[in-house]
Amino acid sequence: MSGISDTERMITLKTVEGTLFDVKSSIAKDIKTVQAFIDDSDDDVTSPIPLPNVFTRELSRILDYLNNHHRFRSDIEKADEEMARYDAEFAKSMSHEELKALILAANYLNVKDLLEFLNQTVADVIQNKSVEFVRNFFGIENDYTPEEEEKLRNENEWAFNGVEQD
Amino acid sequence: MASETKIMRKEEDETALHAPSDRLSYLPNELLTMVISSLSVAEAARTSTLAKSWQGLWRYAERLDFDETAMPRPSILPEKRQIGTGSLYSTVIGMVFNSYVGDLTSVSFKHFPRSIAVGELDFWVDFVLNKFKKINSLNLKCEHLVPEPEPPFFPMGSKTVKLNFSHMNFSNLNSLELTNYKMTTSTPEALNGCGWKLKILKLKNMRMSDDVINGVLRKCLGLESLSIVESKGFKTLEINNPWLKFLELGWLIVNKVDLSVERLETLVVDSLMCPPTGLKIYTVNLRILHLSCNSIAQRMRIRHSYNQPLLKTQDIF
Repeated sequence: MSGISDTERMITLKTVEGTLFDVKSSIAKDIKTVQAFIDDSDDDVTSPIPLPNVFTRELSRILDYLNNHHRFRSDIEKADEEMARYDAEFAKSMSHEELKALILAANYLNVKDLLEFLNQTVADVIQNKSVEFVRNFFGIENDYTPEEEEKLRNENEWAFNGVEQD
Repeated sequence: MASETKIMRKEEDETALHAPSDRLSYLPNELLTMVISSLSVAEAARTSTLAKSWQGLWRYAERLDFDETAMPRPSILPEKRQIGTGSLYSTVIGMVFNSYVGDLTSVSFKHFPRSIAVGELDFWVDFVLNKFKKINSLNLKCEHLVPEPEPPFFPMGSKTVKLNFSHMNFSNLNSLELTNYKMTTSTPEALNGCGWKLKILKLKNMRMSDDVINGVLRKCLGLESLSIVESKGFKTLEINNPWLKFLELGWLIVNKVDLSVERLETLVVDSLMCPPTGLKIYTVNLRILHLSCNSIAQRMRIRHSYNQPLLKTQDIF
């Protein structure tokens, strides 16, 4: 690992596939699940921390996100603008499947800000969409009979008014 | 349509290469509820028709956002309403809380002035604050039936509606956001007991006297983030909340601004108009200073009682 000039302590994370990631301890602080592991081992972490629920692809994206946010925060001049631009780009670059996979990973790793951001991203995607679209998005099988669905719709009529359904 | 389906397939295949695809077929209910919490109330309620497993999920949402502007106008559903039972907005709020079973932490009411006139807004704010002790964030906004022009086109002129806050109990709140109200002189009473708890206060297009705004600020000693924009009715601002880190002042015409905020890190000032002798700022930790003055504000001529010139943001700093 040449090229690391600062002396900040590095933590090594290991994904399901066995890929290793070196992470600055200041970044690891934002990953509460990892930080809890470090705290439990009395700061004496020498071997890689296994993350049995996190896949390489998701971890690399999450670390990207955290690294960039740390960088924005240290460069205070245009922090907000750049962060907003980066977040928008980040949200746009994900397929629906990737988005869901990231939510699972962010939840397991307990990265609160990212999880909130991802949830909002999902909310934005399904906003004003038809029931069919939302079912597709979440991979839900409709197990209502047409009568049951109609009944529910009538009970919550206020929520359906003015919505285009297809 | 055909091409869309193809693209969807491709994504799934790619995912399958990286991980077993069944792990993506569902998100646990806890996470779904979090997603639902980010939706408007109507949108959240609509998720009940997705599938049986979703039917009750929205009733656990931690955040409820009641937006009257997104609801059908009363005239759309006349046959469903009984005369004398209140507005559709209030009926909907009632229906939601009838079936709601979650631990509400954040609630927002965007309503039309009528809700205040008939006492519905007061009723529901009291109801949620008393029933859900975990609520830490409250957002109230009075919308106008005809949208008001936004600054810079018509600065300082938007209508405000009088709302009596004094009986509301804000003591559990961490964040409070108020837009388009006139605060009565007894308003600071609502913040009795807020002490160090309230961290975020956002006031937009509010009308309040010197006593009210400064009284409110004195009650909320623990404030960390304060935003006062497009507001009027006061001539003096005294801000000395010891933990304040972020302060935004925008579109204000005042005689005196006295900031004594040691821990302030970010100060954002937009189109502030204040005589030069009236501005005092004491801070030691300021890291970000963002100044701007809208071109209309620059050209505005404001009559001043002492014939003293008014400084605008760009002259002050």
